[in-house]
Amino acid sequence: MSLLLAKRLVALVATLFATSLIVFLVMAVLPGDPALIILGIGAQEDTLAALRNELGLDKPLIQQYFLWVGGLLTGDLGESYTYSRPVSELIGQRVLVSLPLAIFAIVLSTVIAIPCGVIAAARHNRAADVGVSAVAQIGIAIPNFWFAMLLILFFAVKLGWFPAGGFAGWDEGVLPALQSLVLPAVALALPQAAILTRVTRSAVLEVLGEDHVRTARAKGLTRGAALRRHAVRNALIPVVTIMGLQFSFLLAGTIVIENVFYLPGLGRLLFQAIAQRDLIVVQSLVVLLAGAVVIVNFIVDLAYLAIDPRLRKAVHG
Amino acid sequence: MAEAAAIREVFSKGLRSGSFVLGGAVTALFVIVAVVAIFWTPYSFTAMNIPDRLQPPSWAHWLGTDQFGRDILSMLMKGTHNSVLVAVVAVGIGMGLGVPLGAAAAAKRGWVDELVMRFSDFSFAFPFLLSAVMITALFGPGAVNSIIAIGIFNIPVFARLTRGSGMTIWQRDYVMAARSAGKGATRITAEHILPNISSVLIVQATIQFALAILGEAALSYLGLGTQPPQPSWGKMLNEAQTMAAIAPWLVIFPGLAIVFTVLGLNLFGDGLRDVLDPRLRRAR
Amino acid sequence: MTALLDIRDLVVTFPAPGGSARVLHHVDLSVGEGESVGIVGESGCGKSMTALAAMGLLPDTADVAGAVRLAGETLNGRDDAAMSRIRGRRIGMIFQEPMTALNPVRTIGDQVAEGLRLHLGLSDADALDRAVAMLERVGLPRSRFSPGLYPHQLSGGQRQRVVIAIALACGPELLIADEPTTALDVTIQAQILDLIAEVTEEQGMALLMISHDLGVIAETTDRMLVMYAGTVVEEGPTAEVFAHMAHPYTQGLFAAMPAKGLIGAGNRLATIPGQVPDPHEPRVGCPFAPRCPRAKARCRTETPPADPFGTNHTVRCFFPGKEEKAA
Repeated sequence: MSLLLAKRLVALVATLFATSLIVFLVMAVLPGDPALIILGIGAQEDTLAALRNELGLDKPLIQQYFLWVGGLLTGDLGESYTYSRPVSELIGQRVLVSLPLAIFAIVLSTVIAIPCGVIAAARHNRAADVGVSAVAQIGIAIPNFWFAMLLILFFAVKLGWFPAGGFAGWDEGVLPALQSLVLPAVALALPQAAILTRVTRSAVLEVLGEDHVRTARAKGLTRGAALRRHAVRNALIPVVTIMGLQFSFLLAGTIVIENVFYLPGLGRLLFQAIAQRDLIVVQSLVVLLAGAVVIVNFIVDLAYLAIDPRLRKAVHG
Repeated sequence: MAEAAAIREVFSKGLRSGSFVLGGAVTALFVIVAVVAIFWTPYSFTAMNIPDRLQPPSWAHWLGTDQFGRDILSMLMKGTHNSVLVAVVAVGIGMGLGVPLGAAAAAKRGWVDELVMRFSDFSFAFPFLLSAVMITALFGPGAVNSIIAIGIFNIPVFARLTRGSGMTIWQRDYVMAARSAGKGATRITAEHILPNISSVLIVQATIQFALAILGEAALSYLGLGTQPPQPSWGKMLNEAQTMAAIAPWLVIFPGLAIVFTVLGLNLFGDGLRDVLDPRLRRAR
Repeated sequence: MTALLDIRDLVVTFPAPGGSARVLHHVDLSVGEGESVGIVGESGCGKSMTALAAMGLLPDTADVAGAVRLAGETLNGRDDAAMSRIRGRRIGMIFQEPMTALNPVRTIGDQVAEGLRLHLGLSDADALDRAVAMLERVGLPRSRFSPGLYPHQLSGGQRQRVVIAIALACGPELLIADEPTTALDVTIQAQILDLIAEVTEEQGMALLMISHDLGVIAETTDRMLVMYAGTVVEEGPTAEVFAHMAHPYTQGLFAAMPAKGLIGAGNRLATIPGQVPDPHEPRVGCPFAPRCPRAKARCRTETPPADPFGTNHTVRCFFPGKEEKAA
């Protein structure tokens, strides 16, 4: 068992290194001179040279890579050219917006999707199932940024219940801050919830068709009890792993949503950094986000191992 | 003649599947609009007509006009070209590279298989939009780069699918028979594997089209996709955002276009799955 | 002998595209207290359906008509909650596929104990103790098989023992066994059949054994029914039916078994030509007529009633009796 764990950890570290390598290579392959890109066309040659020196661009690629990775591991992510502040500080600030938003969205999506999926499966082919499936089918076709705009139009502009954008900041109090996160979280949660509902429904339906549910009924469990104690518990195993994968979709969503709502989070930071050609920020942020996805997937893998006894090898005779 | 009979069978089975009919109808509508738009749109989609700006839907302009007086309906119609182009080419790249990779993995096993699997596992770890944003932003926005970005992410999808389904076919008895008869791996792949997994691939392709359209819309919304003057639905939404309060139709119609197209494709994919291979149907 | 399980005139119909399919045609069946009764027939003849109907486990779409009574009380028509109190508690059932019959993510001890907690209201600890005792009884002693084991850690035969333990845990009056050994190796089959016979006798339980294998029926039952295409075509004491096969289908079944003198290359097994009638088609006359070597015009137009053939032996045939004997 610990051998399995050790193998997985090694794979994790390898994947993280590969991720950083890919990001580094993509940035290195960028056409043009990074210093020129950052400083702009009008810059003087000596300023350019100084920046190149500072960024270590005159050193061989391999050395640059290891210097950069070394920096990553020690928390030195470089300094943003646009903001003239350490990248780690920028990220630290923005995370306080993006993380609560992500958690809010995950909670919303789970709380809606799993019960809906279970009910749809329990009432297979009846009205509730058709309704839920239809709504979910439409839900996965809706672009989340469009949904966000509709939400703003209706709930912010028309009804005035929530702000149309911007983040009140945690210092103003928890409630106003949360208020500015409600619409973005709903917009983020929608496509996730739609996917999760379909996955849950399909997983529960599959388990319901399995023989052991029939054994449970033959044992004397009512339909409802068999559903709750056998079908749903078993179906949650693949569903939980999908939820882990959803994290990466969520991340992609935040990039767009934070732009729609002008939220000062990581997604917006990335976007602005790209627009401003602040390559240092881009590089560090991308590797951080990608690394987060890899780590979350790893945790989900571990959780899967823990929940499903079939994966723990043991033979008895 | 066997093909004609097969196609007829597909249609008769298809007519019994709600998803096939509905999805097929919407997809067909999309294709028809796209074809019509090659030759004709109610107005020129670039014609700016300032006196008529920000008109709500009327008989003159069925879906209204934007802040430059451009006719929304015409722009939507032309926008289908962008969606078709991106979806078809991106998915084409994905299939063109992914299917051979997956087929090779299924045929050779061993280190080829390992490599393909590691590579596809790895790409699944990268959030698609994150990387697409990076690629288009850093290498330059535009239709070509967004096609490449989306296409790259279709490769592991098809590689994995081809490998997985391909491997099951390799276990079948008639393939074993072909191998004992001395047929080489390439011939077996071409004659037995690919035809048998074609229905799975077709179904996945429709789903990937839908995802490509959504992805392209997001990239265009962020300004990283198709550049003006070529209209794209995502870009229309971006431009609509500041006007939304006074001209909600600018937001509603492009969004509806995206939703209907994607929904139609998804339903059509589901319907195809029902029709082409009932065994593929797991709990629907 | 009072009938424990009494099924009268059971008709089960399913909706199907383009009409309906009738899978059980006026089935009568009774099992007395402590009696062992077998149902034999090929796949699709309706033997499993009969058992599921008795348990109330048919899908909702099934239309069930007729009477199913347990010790005089009517079962059919009861709602799910009421039937749940009967299932496991008064009737236990074991199925054909031991590999998939158990929940893969729960321990065997827990799965046996679940019924005990449910029906007998035992505490977790007591239920587990009883469960362990039950597992011992079916041949899985605690010393070698911890109740904390998961199904994937057991072989097919061992899993089937667990399934039996679950079925017997609450001491039911009737055990229904639907092809319990079909999916097992031949050597294990005998062990499981012995176990079933032992435990049912010990507890004075009635047994309804369903199988397509005449050997299994011979070994485990006192009385047997032969089913064909949803109808009971012959019924009688097992020894009697084996000695005097009345219905042509029964004779066909026996003839299809490899017989002692006929083993060896060059000898061909007898087969019954033709196919089972389509349940979607309305039935006219005897269902076996199209394949019957003795069928006359009457057989195709009139449905044969259940006629007595010997002591307690009935058959639905206009021309029953021996044609040629199996060697």
